[in-house]
Amino acid sequence: MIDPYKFVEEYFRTIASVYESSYNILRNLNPWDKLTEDEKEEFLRVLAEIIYDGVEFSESFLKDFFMLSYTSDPEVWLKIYEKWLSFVEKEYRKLTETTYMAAIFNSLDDLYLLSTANIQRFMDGFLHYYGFATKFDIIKLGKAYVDLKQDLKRETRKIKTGINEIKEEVGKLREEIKKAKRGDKR
Amino acid sequence: MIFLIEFMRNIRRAMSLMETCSECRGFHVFDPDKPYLIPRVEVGATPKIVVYNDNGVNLYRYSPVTEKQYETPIVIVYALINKPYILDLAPNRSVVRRFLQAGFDVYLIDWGEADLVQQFSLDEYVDGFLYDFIEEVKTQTNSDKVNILGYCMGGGMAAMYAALYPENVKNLILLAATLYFEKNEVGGMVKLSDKRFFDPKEIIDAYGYIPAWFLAERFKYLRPVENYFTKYINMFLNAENKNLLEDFMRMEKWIHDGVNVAPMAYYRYVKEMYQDNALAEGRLFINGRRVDPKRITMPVAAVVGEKDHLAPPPNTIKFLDFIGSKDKKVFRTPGGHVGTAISRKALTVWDEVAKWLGKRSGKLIPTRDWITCGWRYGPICPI
Repeated sequence: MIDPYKFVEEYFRTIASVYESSYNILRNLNPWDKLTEDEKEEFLRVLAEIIYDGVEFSESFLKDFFMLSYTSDPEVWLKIYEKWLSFVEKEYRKLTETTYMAAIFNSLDDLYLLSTANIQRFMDGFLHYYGFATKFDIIKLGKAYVDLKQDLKRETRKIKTGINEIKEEVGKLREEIKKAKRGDKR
Repeated sequence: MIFLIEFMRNIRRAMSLMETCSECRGFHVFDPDKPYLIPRVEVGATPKIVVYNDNGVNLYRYSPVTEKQYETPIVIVYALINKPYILDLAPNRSVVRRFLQAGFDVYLIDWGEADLVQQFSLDEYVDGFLYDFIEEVKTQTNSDKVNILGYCMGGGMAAMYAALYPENVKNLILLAATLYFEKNEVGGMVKLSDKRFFDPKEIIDAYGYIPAWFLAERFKYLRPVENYFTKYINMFLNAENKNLLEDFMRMEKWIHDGVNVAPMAYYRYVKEMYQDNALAEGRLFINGRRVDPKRITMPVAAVVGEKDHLAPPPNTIKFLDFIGSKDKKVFRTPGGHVGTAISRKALTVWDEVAKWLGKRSGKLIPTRDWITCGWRYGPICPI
């Protein structure tokens, strides 16, 4: 028979544990803690500015909106709509220029890229087991090709420099021979 | 009543949009590295030929439009990201054409598309391809030096080359170039690439190269509302204006028609440039040789867009404090990163840039025949 007190205790312990773990997981995923004090302050300042601008804008926007009931020109509608769009663009731009938003975008990228890389590694392991070549084999071959090409270029340049030096020397020798011949004739 | 009028206007807009789409014969075939609907509009206005090629990297020479040209040619070093036709998007929106009209022999390096096999690093791009291509231009034009114009990441590579081989560079133009990376002063991409939150190795681990779509999306993050939402609404609202719609389609094509980037080149550029500011501070090494910005002693011009959020003006201008050159000039355009190359207002600034360069590019000589120099390497390339 289940002890009701024990059950309630277990129930609350589980709830507390789920809450704590979820909080910690979210905290680990959220880059907020990695920000410096200045960056945190920057984000909060921008957020406050956006709220202030939003309140100010909504006042003029509501006025415009009520004015619409007196007009039947679609151009006026468009102008108000465009005004609203440019306001959203401007405010969102401010937000995306903060380090916190950049960090959030990057952590979303991280999640996607890490999961993609893990799936690919698993697939590669599987294919390698059955003796198939994978993307990583092609990359290794590519790297070897690039190394070889670089070596060839380096050697070619050395040879070219050598040829140029020889050409210069030959030119000098020819000049000297010419001078010597002229001297003989005299 | 008002809704009915607007409804009819929307029908007109939709029809105009469909008409434009049908004119450009729909969209390109779906590509896993570019999962977008890319309109098939014509881009690349000026005829050009391939004059040299190595491993998918092409050197183009543009058809001259003047009878005389400056004796020093100009080589445009484009970024590894995206395609270079943005500099020659349409006849009235072409930086290349401005230089041709000003009397320059214009060459362009198109890095092409990297794949799994092309695991090139910055060493190969700067000290391999760029070095060889500039030697080729010098040979073809019989000149000791060339002018270099570097755009965006290409500006970084051009600056590295100029610091390694200053004897080969007559003048250097840095167009919206990514060179100086103090994140509090620059912001934008530099903030997004903060080393605490972004490790480029993760992309390489997942894909083996840097897919075009990944880079396109990262650029869009910086202006998400415009790039994902309002841009399309504005396009629809202006859909009755045909010219505007065509320009929009061209831009859409360029934004989404990116190229995959060689992994190690991207890795080093992010790690050492974006996250460590190594070029400006003289801590960058290419093929074991230190890249010292103080060796950039030739005349340098920086062309920056006031509204550029991908390479904000300090990204380029602050670098000028670190170089050895005494002849420095900054040209400011009212546009953004792309607008600097294609907007009508910006193109007037390009005339001033061409004048500045003309004064420093030697005398005018008869133009060389442009077909004969390239026939042995490949066919005439229309785009």
